[in-house]
Amino acid sequence: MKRISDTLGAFTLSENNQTDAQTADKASDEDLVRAIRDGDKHSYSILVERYLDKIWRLAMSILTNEQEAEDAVQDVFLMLWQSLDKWDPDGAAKFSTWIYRVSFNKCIDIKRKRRPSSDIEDMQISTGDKTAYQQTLDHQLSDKLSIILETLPEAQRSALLLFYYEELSVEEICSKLSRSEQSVRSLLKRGRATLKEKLQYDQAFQSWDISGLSEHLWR
Amino acid sequence: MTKPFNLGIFQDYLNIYGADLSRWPDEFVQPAQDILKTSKEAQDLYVDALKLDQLFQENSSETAPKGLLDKVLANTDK
Repeated sequence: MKRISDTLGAFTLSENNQTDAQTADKASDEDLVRAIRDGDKHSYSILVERYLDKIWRLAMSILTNEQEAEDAVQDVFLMLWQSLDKWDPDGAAKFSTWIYRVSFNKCIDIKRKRRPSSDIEDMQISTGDKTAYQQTLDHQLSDKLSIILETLPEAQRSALLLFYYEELSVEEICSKLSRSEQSVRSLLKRGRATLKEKLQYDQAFQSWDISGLSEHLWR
Repeated sequence: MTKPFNLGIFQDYLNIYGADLSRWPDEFVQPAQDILKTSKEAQDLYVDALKLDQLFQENSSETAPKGLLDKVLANTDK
């Protein structure tokens, strides 16, 4: 069985598991996938840990139901383990793009098949200080954000996700995406402009009162 | 000579860096705070940018439930 270090060509025949693990942690998605195809479960667990929270958030934003989101996440990763040959590491699509698309489609599929009453049941569950109605509005906005993000060009979406979810600076995003600073600024600017444009007619977004978070800046 | 900071530049920077001024380049933080104190248009633009930041933050604050990682990894043994 090949280990990820073999795939990377850095530590062939390495006996040092810690070095192997460190190498694998820093490996690209593409290198991990190549190792998984050779049966390396350790690379699979690294890839799962790398994407678990991201796919969970996507699933929750679409399904707004923990049980369904858990099912979706498990199905996506099982499919990943069993059918990785459907994605070509040397092809044009990035692994992240592919897994987001697969996950998005899986969630939409589950949503279509769900019982008509489950949305009503979701509304009756209230946690914390938020009312069921407010939670529903939040979920609607989250749904909408996920859907609009899906429509953005890949580079714009990646820049925004790295900025918000990974909390990377513009300079760090440049390095991650191998782009110039001017290019990354432009991606963020156009991405945000599109999001705002598409949310401007959304009643929940427009009526969302966040004055308490901002007014201290001008009072 | 650098261009004077105005509403257009403020909007550009909101679109690039979002509403969290701690993520802006240092030299533009004070001019941004100044324009927010005097311009209603700047305040409206800022609130829109802040809503977008909040929306991302609400989405990103969720982590997968404990135990899900183990379930996912265990599925490969079935």
